[in-house]
Order: sequence, then C-alpha cells, then structure tokens
Amino acid sequence: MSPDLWLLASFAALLILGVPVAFALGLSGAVGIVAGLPVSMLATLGTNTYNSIAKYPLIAIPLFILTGLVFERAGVAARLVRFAQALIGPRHGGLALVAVLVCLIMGGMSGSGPADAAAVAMVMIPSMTRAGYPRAFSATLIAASASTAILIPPSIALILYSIVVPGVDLRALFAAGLIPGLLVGVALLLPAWFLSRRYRWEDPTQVERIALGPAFRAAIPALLAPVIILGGLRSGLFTPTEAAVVAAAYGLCVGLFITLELKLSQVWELLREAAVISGVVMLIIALAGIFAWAGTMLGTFRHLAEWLITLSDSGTTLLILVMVAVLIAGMLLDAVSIYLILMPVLIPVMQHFGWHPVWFGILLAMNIAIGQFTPPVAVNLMVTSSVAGVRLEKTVGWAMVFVVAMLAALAVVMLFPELALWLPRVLGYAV
Amino acid sequence: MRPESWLAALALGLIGIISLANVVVRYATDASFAFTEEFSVFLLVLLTLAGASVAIRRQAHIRIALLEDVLPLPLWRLVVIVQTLAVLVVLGLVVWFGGTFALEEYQWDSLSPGLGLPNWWYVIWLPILALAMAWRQLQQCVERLSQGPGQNASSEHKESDHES
Repeated sequence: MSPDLWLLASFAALLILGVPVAFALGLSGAVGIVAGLPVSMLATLGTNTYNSIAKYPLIAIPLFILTGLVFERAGVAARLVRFAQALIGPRHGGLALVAVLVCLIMGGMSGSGPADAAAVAMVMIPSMTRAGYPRAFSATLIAASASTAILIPPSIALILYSIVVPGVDLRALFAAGLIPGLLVGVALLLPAWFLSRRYRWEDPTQVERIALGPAFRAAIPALLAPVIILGGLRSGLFTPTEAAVVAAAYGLCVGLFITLELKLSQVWELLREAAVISGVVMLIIALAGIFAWAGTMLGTFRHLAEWLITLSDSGTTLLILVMVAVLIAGMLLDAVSIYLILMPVLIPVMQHFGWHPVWFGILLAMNIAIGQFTPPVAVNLMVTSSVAGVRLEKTVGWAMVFVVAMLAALAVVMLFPELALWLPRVLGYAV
Repeated sequence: MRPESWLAALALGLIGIISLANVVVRYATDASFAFTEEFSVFLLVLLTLAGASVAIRRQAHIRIALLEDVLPLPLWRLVVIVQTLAVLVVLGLVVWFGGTFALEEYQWDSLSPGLGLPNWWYVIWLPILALAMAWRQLQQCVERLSQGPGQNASSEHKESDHES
C-alpha cells in the first residue's frame, strides 16, 4: 500500500470507528509518516501540535464562541422575536418568517449554528406549536435558518478559511458572506411561507397583535450587536479579534444590566462552557496540523489535486463534483474539519481553474451549512429537535424541502459570483 | 474535572481581559500594547488543551457515532476500547515528542521572540496537558464500559455536564 493510501484509509477507518475527528486526524497523520517518511519525523507531533494553535489570528475563535454563548444566555432572542412579530404582524406563515429573521440576526452575533439554533428554538417552538405549526417542521426550519450563522459574519468557519487559504482577507470574506446568507434566508422562507398557507398554519384572527414601539425599544440592545461587530470591522475601528472581544463585553453588559437575565455568578460558568467548546474546535486545528503536514510531505494532497484536475477539463463540471463531495462531507463532519481536511487538496484545483478564493470559500460555507441540518450528523437539527421533543427521523421529510431550497440558493451564487464579491469590493477590501 | 476546567476558563477570561485592555489602551493613548500578543497566544494554547481535556471527559469531541449505535454489545465494547487506544496513541506521541520539544528548548536556552522569556515555560504545558487528556480518556472509557451503550453524548456540544 502506498503511503498516500495509508494516510487516507487510516483516516477513513478511524472516523468510521467513531474516533473523535481531531484524534483521527492526528493518528492517520502519524500513520502516514511511519509509512512513507523517516520515523524520526514523528517529532512533528510535538512541534506541529503546538505551532498549529499558537497563532494570533486564531484568538478570534474562542472569543466569538464566547460572544455567541453570551448572547444566547442574555435573553436577546426573546426580545428579537417579539420585535419581529410586531413588525410582521399576524398572518399565515408569520411566525415562520419571524423564526428565519431572528436566526439571521442571531447569526450576526455568533459564529456557529448550534448556539443560535438552541436560543431561537427555545423561544419560538412553544409559540409556533400553539399557532398550529407541526413541531418537526418548526425544528427543521430553525435548524436550517440557524445554519446561516456560518455565512453571516462573524463566522468561525470563515476565520479558519482565511488562515488556511493564503492571501484571503478575513474582512472581505465576512462581507462576502452577507448577501449569500440573506439569500439563503429568502430561499428558506419561500417554501416555509407556501407550506404555511397551504396547510393554514397560524390563523391570523387568533394571534394577538403586538405594539411595535415598546417591542422595538426592548430589541435595540440586541439589534446593536451586529451593528457593533460589522460596523466596527467596516470602519477599521476593530480588527476581527477586537470586534469579537468588544462584542462579548457588550453582550455581557446587555445580559447583566439591561435584560438582567445574566447574573455575575454565571459569568464564570459561561467562560467554562465557551472554553470547552473552544477546546473541541481548537484541538481539531491542532491535530489537523499533523495530518496536513504528513499529507504535504508525502505529496498526497498534490497527487489528489492532480487526479481531480484530470477528471474533467471543464471547471464547471469539477466545481459541481467538488460541491457534491463537500455536501456529503458536510453531512458527516463539522465546518472546521472540512476546511482543514479539504483545502490543502482544493487550493491547487482552485488555482488551476482560476476560481475566486473568496467566492469559493463562500460556496463551501453554503454547502457545509446544508450539512448542519441534514441527517445523519446534523448538529443544528439535533439541538432543535431535542428542544421540540421530536425524534430526528420525523424531521427528515421537512429537511429535504429546505435542502432543496438551499441548494437553489447555492446554485444562484455559483452562477452569479458577484452576489458574493460585490459587497466586499464596494466596501474596499482586496478581492 | 476541576483543574482543567478551571484553567481553561481562566485562560479564556484572561484572553478577553487582555484583548479588551488592548482596544482601550490603543484608543485612549498612542501606546502599543503589542507585547501582550505573546501571552495571549500562550493562553490560547492553554485554553485549547485544557478545554479539550474537559471535552474528552464529557464525550463532547466531534465524532461520527453511527457505527456504535448498531453494534451488538461485545463488538460495541471492542470499538470503545479501540477508540480509546487510538486516542491514547496520539496523546502518547504528543506527550513524548512534546516533552522532547520542551527539553530541547530548555537545553538550547531558546528565548521567546517577543518577550525574551525561556520558551520551555510555554512548551512544557503541551506534554503536561496531553497527559491530563490521556487520563481523562481512560476515565471516560471506564465509565462508558461500565454504563453500557445508549447514552452517547456524541457530537453535541452542551448538556451532559457531569462533573467527577
């Protein structure tokens, strides 16, 4: 067996056996080294593990994880929901619209889906159920909408992409994710609205109307969070890391002094929780460093990329092939692992066909977002269906509806790269 | 569970305070606060390894748990043990080569690029915390084997907050 095969086959086998992704990456890297390189090179398990995470730009990741958790616990979701309800008013599909809208705004405060999904599901599912929406539908809709968090800035996945792919400005990526993120929101909304009318969920005459003014005032602190993060980045006031810490501090102030849903004694607990989630994400980065190093030294990634390029002369065909592969990967793995594992192979392919790295990163993120609510491993759907108290199997039919909707949005961004590239260019970032 | 959980939260708290102080200082004065970068990066390493150790104990690391759900009990036990062995091999290598790395830094008196502190002060935490992770993996494995299948917390981040 060639060293390339050892590396890839041992990784696949370890994953199937249920070894955590981080350790599967580390061990298959070690196997690759033993199979094809001097054994003394195993020393990289010391140096590379340390150096992969000892990087300043990565500090934004735990800070944005903390921000997401702070906003989840600060009770802003309930206020945003009330405001969106007042804005939209009672109508068929009104609450579905509220759910999507609030998920999009929450996505602008945190960098990953599951935290948003939990916060919104906790507030929305009881009222959606009272209004007549099936629980499985609500859970799926919220899971799908919350998956836009990796597209709407800030996004942990995009932070990682900017580190893995040389020469990509994180701020440009953040700006590029915004319009596709909103597009996904619209794409999810159309079938949700159609289904609500068709099945006459949410009888407009039986839902109370909420006064707009007070609801808006209560929601202001929450609405300001994305403004601070995006505005701060745009104006050059903050670097991404600084924006993360300012947003976390702001969220703490909102929770402690405005919504009063956080107590000072809970802050330590929040730090601990955020630290453990960060540990999960960052350990993958640490040990993927070994896998990437072994794959590069052995030439595995180069061989794979060369093989991919020979598959087709047509960039479009290959792009579709890559998208299908990422879609399947997204059903099994998380965004961070997918970027770390696939990018070393895909960067040469991307350069060969002249795909724009920012656009390509956004396409990958959209694709990975779909995987977050597609069984078998659907992180967001797992959270929302446990809040809704429905079994995961019951959601599969609805999930397919939203998968098709999001694939349509993905196809539109594939056909019109400007949807991703226009905003960063207008804002003056290098794209 | 206590020490790593405590260490990770402390590291994150300090990163937050240092970064926030950086923003304030940069806008209030013209002074550069750049030397803090080295501390922040070190705290990030600490946070990662300590947080990952807690996550091992809680079975919070992302993995594909589909196979386990369909296996009969004897095979399930075997798979759990194989998983633990795989994790222990990685951690063993990290402890050994991380230790060697730290020892070399000590012998060569290499200093950190930013603050000129002995580099081994930073690196030594890698083998120490990898050792802690290995211990947590053993604890977790014993616990799973004694409790049997069916209660995997698998790829979920939160919930199951069982402290030992």
